Amino acid sequence: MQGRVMGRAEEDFVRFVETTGPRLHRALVARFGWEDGREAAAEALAFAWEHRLELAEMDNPVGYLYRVGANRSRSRRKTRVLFPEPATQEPWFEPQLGQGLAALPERQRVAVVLIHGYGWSSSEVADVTGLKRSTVQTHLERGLARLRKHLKVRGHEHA
Amino acid sequence: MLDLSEEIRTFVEGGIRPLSADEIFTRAHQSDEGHRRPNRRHVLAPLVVAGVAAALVVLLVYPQWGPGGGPQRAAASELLLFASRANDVPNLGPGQYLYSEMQTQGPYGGDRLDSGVTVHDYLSVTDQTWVNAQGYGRFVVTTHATPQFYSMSDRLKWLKAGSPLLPMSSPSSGQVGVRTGSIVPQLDLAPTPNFNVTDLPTTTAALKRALTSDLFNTEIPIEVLQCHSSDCLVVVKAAAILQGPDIGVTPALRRALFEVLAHVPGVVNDGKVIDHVGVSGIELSYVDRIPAHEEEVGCGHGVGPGNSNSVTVHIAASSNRFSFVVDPNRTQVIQTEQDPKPRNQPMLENPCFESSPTTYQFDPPHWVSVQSEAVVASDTSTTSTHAS
Repeated sequence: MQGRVMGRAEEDFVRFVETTGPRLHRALVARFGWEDGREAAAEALAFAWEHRLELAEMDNPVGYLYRVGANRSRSRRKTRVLFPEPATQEPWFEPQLGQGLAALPERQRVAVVLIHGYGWSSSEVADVTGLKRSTVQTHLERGLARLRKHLKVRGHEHA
Repeated sequence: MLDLSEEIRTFVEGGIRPLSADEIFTRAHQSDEGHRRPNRRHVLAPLVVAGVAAALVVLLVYPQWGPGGGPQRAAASELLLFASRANDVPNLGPGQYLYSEMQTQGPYGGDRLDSGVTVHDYLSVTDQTWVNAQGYGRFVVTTHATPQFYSMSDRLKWLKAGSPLLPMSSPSSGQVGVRTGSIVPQLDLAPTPNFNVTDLPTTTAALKRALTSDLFNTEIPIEVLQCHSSDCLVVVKAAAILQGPDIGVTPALRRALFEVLAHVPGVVNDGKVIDHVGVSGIELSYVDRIPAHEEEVGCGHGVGPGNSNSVTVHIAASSNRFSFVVDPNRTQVIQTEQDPKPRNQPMLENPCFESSPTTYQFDPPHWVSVQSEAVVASDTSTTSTHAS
């Protein structure tokens, strides 16, 4: 149907974007970086609007949209640098942090950013990514070890 | 120095540009208009697989399908199913009224903002109708002052311009008309048609003939005037009657209307949708195609087409999509809609002096959505006396 008015469906969707959107956005940024992750999240949310009836009946819409975003943006990924260094380096950031995160395999990076960075539980990451909780935990441990090694090699020590 | 956990969060969060709902709506709208195309490389393989699978399903389940199958056959099955269950007719006792509340559009406004862009807007209108078994009652038309927009991009343009007061907007909501007495028909006031269907035949062939005649042409003038084919007339009138409100409707007539619709070539099943007032149902649609053609226009006072003082005007091809949404549980038509394409029609303001279009006229979609319906005890009550 064309020319839809701002009705109850739109208002519900605005709430969905405001509450669920940031979580989906962060998960896809963790996987694809700032720009491509944003693009994937926008694609997934546009898909969510078009298929809101089906999504309303799903148990895990964020997990589904995570896969939709990943699949839709896969062919159009543009940026090779996932986390470009900011023009002005903040003194409290590790200068190699962006590069270190980008160097991790995708699944390890998602686990490290969402669990170690944002405080998600491994079950929450498992729900979104469709992996087993134990697998997510393994990715987290390996990813953190790898990231610490990357930062240490470059002269920075982290607990 | 922050610990690694906090550092990761601060670093990642610092580069995230938030997404707004407006941005998502715009993106989805672009998809509607075909601006956002999936990458062919990634679509081709799944399409081939899906195509083969669909072909197998078709061959196994519907071996008798010929030309015109697919969504059309699905529409016919759905409509015949509705026909078999079309017994839900409100029974009006003495002193009772059928109350229906419809949401539709008021006048269209094409408003040019200070920034130079034009937005397409309208005011929402609520029609409340109370009608008894004899066709008498009352109706109230209420206009709502908040401007509504025909597309999300119109709304975004208006928001970007600082939400200015639009010329068409009235300062407040209010009743624009109240009328009592016989309400069939009420052409001067009611945008929602009311039909007296007491004399309509209930055999499909006779009913189809009645629908292709001039019957009800004046009750639903907008859609009917734009119909090019006789099938279009059948779809528009049958759907409008099924939507109501009606006088004299019977289960047999409702069944026959669904059966007539099931046999119209070109009616397709669009599946589950949400209508303009947020209610879900099954949408069926029909596209009436008007081919490019020539029309003669008289140019002198009292001089008609065919005379030397006339010009031939080329009218480009266009189409009108008519759709209706059925609540599958009650087999009630809860929305009817007309959507012309292209939305911007080239116009010759004075064909006698112009050879090419100088302006474009926005041809807006038009819909009527049922907000509520009930059998009530008086012509002012909106509370059901029993389940309708």
